[in-house]
Amino acid sequence: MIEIVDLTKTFHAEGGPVHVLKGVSLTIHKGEVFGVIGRSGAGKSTLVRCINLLERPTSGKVVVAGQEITALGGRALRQARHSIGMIFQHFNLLSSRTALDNVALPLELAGRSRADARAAAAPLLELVGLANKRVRYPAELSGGEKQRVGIARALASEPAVLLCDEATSALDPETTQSILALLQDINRKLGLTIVLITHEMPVIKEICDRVAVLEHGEIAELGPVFDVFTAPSAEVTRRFVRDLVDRALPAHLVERMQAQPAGTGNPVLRIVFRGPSANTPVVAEVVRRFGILLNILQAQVDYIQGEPYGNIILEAIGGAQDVAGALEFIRSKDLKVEVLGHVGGDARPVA
Amino acid sequence: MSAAMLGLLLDAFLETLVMVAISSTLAGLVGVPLGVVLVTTGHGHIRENTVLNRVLGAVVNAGRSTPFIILLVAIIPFTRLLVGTSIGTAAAIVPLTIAAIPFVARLAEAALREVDPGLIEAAQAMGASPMQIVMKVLVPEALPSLVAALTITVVNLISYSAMAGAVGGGGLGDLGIRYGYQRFLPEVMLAVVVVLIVLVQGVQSIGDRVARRLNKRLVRSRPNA
Repeated sequence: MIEIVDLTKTFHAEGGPVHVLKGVSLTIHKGEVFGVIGRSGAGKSTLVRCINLLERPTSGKVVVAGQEITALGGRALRQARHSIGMIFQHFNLLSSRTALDNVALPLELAGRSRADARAAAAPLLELVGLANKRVRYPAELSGGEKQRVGIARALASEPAVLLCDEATSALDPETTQSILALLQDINRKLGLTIVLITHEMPVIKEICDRVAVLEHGEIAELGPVFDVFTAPSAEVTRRFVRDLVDRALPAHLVERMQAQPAGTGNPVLRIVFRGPSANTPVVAEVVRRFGILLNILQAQVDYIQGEPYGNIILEAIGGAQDVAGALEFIRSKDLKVEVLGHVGGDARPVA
Repeated sequence: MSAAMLGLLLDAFLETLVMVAISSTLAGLVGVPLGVVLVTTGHGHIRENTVLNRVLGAVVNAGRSTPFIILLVAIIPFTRLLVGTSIGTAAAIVPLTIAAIPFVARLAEAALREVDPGLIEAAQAMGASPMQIVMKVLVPEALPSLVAALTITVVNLISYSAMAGAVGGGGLGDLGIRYGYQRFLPEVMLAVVVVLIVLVQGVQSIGDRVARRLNKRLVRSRPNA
């Protein structure tokens, strides 16, 4: 649906050229929700603005729905933009127009009469759940409502692609959830391809199918959200997912932990559950089979794209033989398990 | 004050109204588009054109820095060419308009510049042409400020029109000078000043009210719609 080939963008600032994008290539499939995450300054906003040529790339090619956008200009570009909707962090609604007239604007721009545009805009306001706010001005709407108007407006010209530039960054978590749910709904109902730029991991986790992690104008990592999040390979990705799926160990545990077993020390294990394996009662089975005690030090289960992802830190108390057998058994269940270190048998919290 | 004086006052009032109404309308019709050109040809705007922007800016500044009384006499040949005479109300409208155009242009430029660049970007993303951006985004969004700018212009023109007496333009200012000052009739002077104060107050409060009504950026309580 969208093909980006070797895209570069260089800004000429006073202190010399700034390379914001350094050869980004990616393909976004029809009907998918594609996320681009990066910290501020990573170039993600520039990347999305190159897709509809709000920003003209220094070199490279952007193809949307078979049409090479980067080869267009003037009237042809304006025509092509009708099939690329966009929503913004600060909504960018016209303060002088009511909700309904804001949604009607792209239709008026496409040459339809005001009455005609209004008639076509009404069902869109309904789609985003604002049928009762037609005659309200943006100043009378909440942030979430404004973004809903923005979404309705972006959909008015029946685009094939929706670009979201930090669309939820100005909203509180609860409103963010409802906007994301709306986007997902639209994605499913209309088969719209969505490109979503954000610096918020939960947003990606919530609705994206695939994600590209952008750093210093380059793609550091790209793949299905579940894979990228649960097995991050780039350092930047690891930092992003730390809080989400890879929480740091508690300080008191790290303090007591030693790399090698010392005396009566017990091994500390990390078991990672992914996908269907998260549903098997492995811990209970290990306890029963091998007669060892498992003391849970930390545990969490998360859902990414509806798939469970769990992470348990355990202290295994028992004979070395039994523990080794248990590790073997857990691995045989297709779970990832690793020995993080060893802790002494004294003064430990028991769960 | 005698009935004859009241008659003169009424005539002068109407002359002022005619001069100000026509010159501010014309100045608005030329000045606002000029302001649009000044903004849109500016750096990073939708029709960036540095040369045009600089030249136009210089012309506008020249117009604004010429004292009105000098402009009034300096363009007498042009006025004669345009309206066939250099004396009278019609003749006064020409310099008033010319003086007000650059004034309106700068005020309009400032008002249009205040429009959130994000809105222009959103319109571009929707495939709007530069002309559509001006007509559907810039002007409607700046309308409250444009109305405020035009109000200031009208008030200024009321004051400028007092100098139109220098070319026999008539109006309240002229009456005040000739009867109030030169014939030493302080009650005429006072009447003229009072009428001018009421006129300016009226124009200002109507302008404010219209601008406020057009401004949808403020939340105000309203019945459920």
